[in-house]
Amino acid sequence: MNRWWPLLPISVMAAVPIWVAPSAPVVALEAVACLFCALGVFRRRVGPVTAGGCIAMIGYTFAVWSTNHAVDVIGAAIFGLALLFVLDVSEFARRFHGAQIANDVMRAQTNYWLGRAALVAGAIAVLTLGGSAVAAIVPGSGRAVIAGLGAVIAFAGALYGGIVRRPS
Amino acid sequence: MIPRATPLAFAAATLIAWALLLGLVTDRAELFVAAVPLAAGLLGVGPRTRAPRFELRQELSADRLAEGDRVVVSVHVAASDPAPMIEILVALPPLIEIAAGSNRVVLAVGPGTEESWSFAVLCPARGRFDLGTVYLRVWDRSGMAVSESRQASAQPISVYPYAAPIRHVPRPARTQLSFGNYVSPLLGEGIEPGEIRPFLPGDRTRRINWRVSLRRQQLYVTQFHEERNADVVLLLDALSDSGAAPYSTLDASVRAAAALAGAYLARKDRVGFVEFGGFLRWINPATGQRQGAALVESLLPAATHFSYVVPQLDRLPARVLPPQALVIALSPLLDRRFVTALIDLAARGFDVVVLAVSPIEATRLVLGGSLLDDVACRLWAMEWQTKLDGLRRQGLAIVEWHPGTPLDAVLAPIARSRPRPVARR
Repeated sequence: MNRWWPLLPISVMAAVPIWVAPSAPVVALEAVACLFCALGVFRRRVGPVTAGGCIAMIGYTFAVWSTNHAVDVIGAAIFGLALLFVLDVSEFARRFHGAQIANDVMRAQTNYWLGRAALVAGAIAVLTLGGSAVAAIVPGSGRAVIAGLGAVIAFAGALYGGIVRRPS
Repeated sequence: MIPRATPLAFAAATLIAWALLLGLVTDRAELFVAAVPLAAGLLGVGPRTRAPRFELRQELSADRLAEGDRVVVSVHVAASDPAPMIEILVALPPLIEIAAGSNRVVLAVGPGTEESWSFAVLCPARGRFDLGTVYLRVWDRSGMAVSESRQASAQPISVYPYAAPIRHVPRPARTQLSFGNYVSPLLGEGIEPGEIRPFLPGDRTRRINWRVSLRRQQLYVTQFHEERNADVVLLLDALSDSGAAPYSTLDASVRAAAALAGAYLARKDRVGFVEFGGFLRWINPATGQRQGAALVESLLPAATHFSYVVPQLDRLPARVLPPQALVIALSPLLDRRFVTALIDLAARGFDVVVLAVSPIEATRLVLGGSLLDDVACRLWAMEWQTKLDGLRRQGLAIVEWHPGTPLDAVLAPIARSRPRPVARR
């Protein structure tokens, strides 16, 4: 895989916060994030890419916090997907650097990434609709509790599914 | 093979945690939404009940080749479980280079199917190598989990030294009793005419020289010289080496030894071999194709080994160094112990020819090529020449060989005429 490919999701990742709030601090934070990600891509290190993702998320947080608009689900979904693609593509390029990759492997991997993006978009839509329904039913004080519980359960589930689980 | 989480999984977990923390601190729902794709990526790890089962088979196009030859390695992977992404790395020993293709591939193997790939490697240096170690990584499609294993099945290849054909070789001063290509001073059955003497009872009538007999009015017979072979012992200096493989002085010496062994065996001589290094190794002199194969096999592992023991040639069995053998020493003449052994051999009456392999060029190849290196090499070359002149004055017959020049051209002058050496200790 060409090492320039990860630059596409990196640029999307940096563009979303700037599009939300085109202020100097956001631009500076996203520029630093891009630099870290590019460093990780070209030096084939996961650490700088992760650090770049964290900085980009700080920039996105600052952007949504400073604008104080209504919740932008589509922008957040694009930002999250871009982050995931930055990690995936840069890691794919890193781990198979110098290897001869069969064409069917490349094709199947691209299909997998696109299919997963579609699934994630669907999941976000379902979650948004579910959240709207819950917001209509549950009173204001209970929403924060449900949101917090959902976040903790999602994080724990992701950790268990991705890292902790061992073969039976 | 136990699947384990990859750095990508930890990176995704870090970003999820960071997004949730920032979302809680700023009370913005966008950050929770942004964490959803990452959580989905982490949850996308396939079932980790067990790694897919597959069988790996490796084939080599040849297992015996000469320096500079190529060998094609074919790897076949057959899986009984679906393996969406198998990364296979065939470990290459040092000195083996990729000539075509890649020794690391990523394949997808379906259940009950077999995938194959080939690549060619170049073997520029002599030696025995094993291409049977294969490292495997079975990746999850999400890239968040991987299982690793290593398979080792012996796939040895032997890379023999390149033996350049040579026509001119130093002629042995003494011959042996068996039939060969050299005209012996002894008279007997042969085709080379020698002296003419009066006929004696018992002489064969076909030997009568009629022209001389008619002129002298008395029967005369022509005597013939016998054609005999010789014993040649190749003495390889493995005490010192200069430069890096495959262009080191030891490699050049081994190539020269292989070429000389082939040339002398083609002349029906008995050829033996002694490796004079950290320990002594030898092969008794013999003739024939089998001896040629044995000599090349014994040249293959020649290397320098450090030892506190000073090797001594007088401890060799007498049949390894026959008294009238021609000893051809191949050495860069860097180690004093080898030079002393050569002078001792010559003083004991052996017919010794030294093929002095120049260490300057081999060393220059591994140096940077700066002005200082150049001056140092030139000074070293002068010092080496002085050493050779000193050894010549001590009575050793020395042929100077710079490995860039053809060996045949270097040996041609000494093959035509060689002064009888008399060594002084």
